[in-house]
Amino acid sequence: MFDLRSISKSFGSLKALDQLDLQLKPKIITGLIGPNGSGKTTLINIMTGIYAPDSGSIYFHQQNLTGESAECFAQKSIARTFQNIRLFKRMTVMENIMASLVTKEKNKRNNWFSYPFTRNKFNLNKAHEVLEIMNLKDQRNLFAEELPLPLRRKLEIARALVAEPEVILLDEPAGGMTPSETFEMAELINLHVAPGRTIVLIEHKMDLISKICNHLVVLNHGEKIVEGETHEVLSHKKVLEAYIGI
Amino acid sequence: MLNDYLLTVISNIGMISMIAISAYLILITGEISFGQQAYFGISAYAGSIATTLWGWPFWMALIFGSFLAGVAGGLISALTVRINGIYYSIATLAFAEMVRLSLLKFSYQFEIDGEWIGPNGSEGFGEIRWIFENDISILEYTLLIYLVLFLLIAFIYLIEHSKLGMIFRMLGQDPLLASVQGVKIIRYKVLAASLAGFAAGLGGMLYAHSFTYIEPQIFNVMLGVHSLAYGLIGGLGTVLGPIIGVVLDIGFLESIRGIQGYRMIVFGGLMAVMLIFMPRGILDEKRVHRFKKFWEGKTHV
Ligand SMILES: Nc1ncnc2c1ncn2[C@@H]1O[C@H](COP(=O)(O)OP(=O)(O)OP(=O)(O)O)[C@@H](O)[C@H]1O
Ligand SMILES: [Mg+2]
Repeated sequence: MFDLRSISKSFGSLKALDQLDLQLKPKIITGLIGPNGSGKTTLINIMTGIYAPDSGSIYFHQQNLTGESAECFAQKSIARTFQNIRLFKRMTVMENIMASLVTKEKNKRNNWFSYPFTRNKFNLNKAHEVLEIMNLKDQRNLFAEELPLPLRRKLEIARALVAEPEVILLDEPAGGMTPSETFEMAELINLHVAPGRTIVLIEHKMDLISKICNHLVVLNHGEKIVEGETHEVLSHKKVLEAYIGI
Repeated sequence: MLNDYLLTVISNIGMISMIAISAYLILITGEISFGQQAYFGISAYAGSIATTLWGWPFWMALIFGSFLAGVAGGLISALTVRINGIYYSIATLAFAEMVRLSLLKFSYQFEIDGEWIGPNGSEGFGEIRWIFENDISILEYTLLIYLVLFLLIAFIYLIEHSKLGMIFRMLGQDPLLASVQGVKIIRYKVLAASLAGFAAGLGGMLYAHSFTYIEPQIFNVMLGVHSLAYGLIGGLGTVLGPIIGVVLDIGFLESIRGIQGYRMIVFGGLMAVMLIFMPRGILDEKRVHRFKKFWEGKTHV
């Protein structure tokens, strides 16, 4: 469904991705792990059109998206979160969620004449739904920059969810969180994000990976070194070498 | 009570508010333009040519001048859409200077009743006599300015509460994030710049007909810098912000007799203090939000 073929991407002389192949399995959580600088975020940037690959091609439902813009990827129902959280800081939590619906033309009620935009009933209902499931209801009138880090990460996920995407790419959704916050995030992903969706999850915390990923891909120096079922991959010799240390 | 001096101040506030709104529209989409005076000037000239030389009706000339300014704004934006930050600011300034210098060379005169009338380079463009010919009093013209301003504010207010307003603010806060959510950045940047050109154009055309004389020098960079400052002082959270800035400067500073001549110093100082303590102005996004919530709370009881 999401098909990356022989993707390479360099920054100057640094090869961030080197002839990488990846086929996402539909409706499954694929974990993406690898040491710092191994190219995980770069891969997600390529899968959302932020960077175009230097070579190789990208197919989504047999459609060639190589070289297309980020807008185009977004309209194909691919959503993501950011390792360095990106929110509209001077908008409230509610507005951040509504902003995600601004280009969604799927339903007739969400058109130019639904006015004012932030009071559109249909959108508001959707927004309230995701606020409820991500436990952000009480913060809905706070500005994004006023939220503590765990809630910012939740808001990023809520924003992705409200657009009802087919694919969600999560870049370290528990980055910087305490163990209990990480546990809560794992629950949220399992219960509300994963069902019915295709997910890629980048994470350094192995307990989170082993708890929620069915399938695992390991990158090192921009190359895929191992891919397979989570528990098998985690005990693979190459992975132990590359990831956990010597 | 409403003497002519006071009326002139009030009508100035109205006209300058329009170019302040213009600069504000660019500010909320995340760029700083030092060149909105160009659109003010383009429309002042084009609109005055239309009424004075071509004999067009006032409203048609107003729309014509502003429309031209809007098209110019959109074109310049399309040309500069790949540059950001300081480079964008410099490009807008360069364009505005180009317009001003071209106007210094621009001559287009007709002989009307034995007199040569029309723009003539650095001598400017006098005899824009629509007000006199139609026997319009200062009070009436002031009311006309405020009618236009009211319509402009209402229009921008509607935009701000629509999808388009949301998109403008998304662009202004994080264009990359906006594009990851499917927003076609270039299209909306150009649209915002056209609207901004149009708004400045309304002010410029009205200005020319209010003073009956214009010259290229009026549309210099200081006008652009002031228009920017109005939004930054008054606030970037609502279209009323830039208007507060204008009222503070023209209505308040200019009218305090004691500080005449020091006005620019006071204004500069105020600007510096504001940028430190209220970087997004008096009516910034947070205050506007709190005010709305407060208002909703009151009206729901
Ligand atoms: N825009 C860029 N310009 C230059 N170099 C970059 C850029 N983006 C990434 N890199 C480099 O590419 C390599 C891969 O970076 P990437 O962010 O994909 O790693 P990562 O696997 O996500 O690492 P981490 O676990 O630290 O997040 C790194 O060496 C990084 O410095
Ligand atoms: Mg990364």
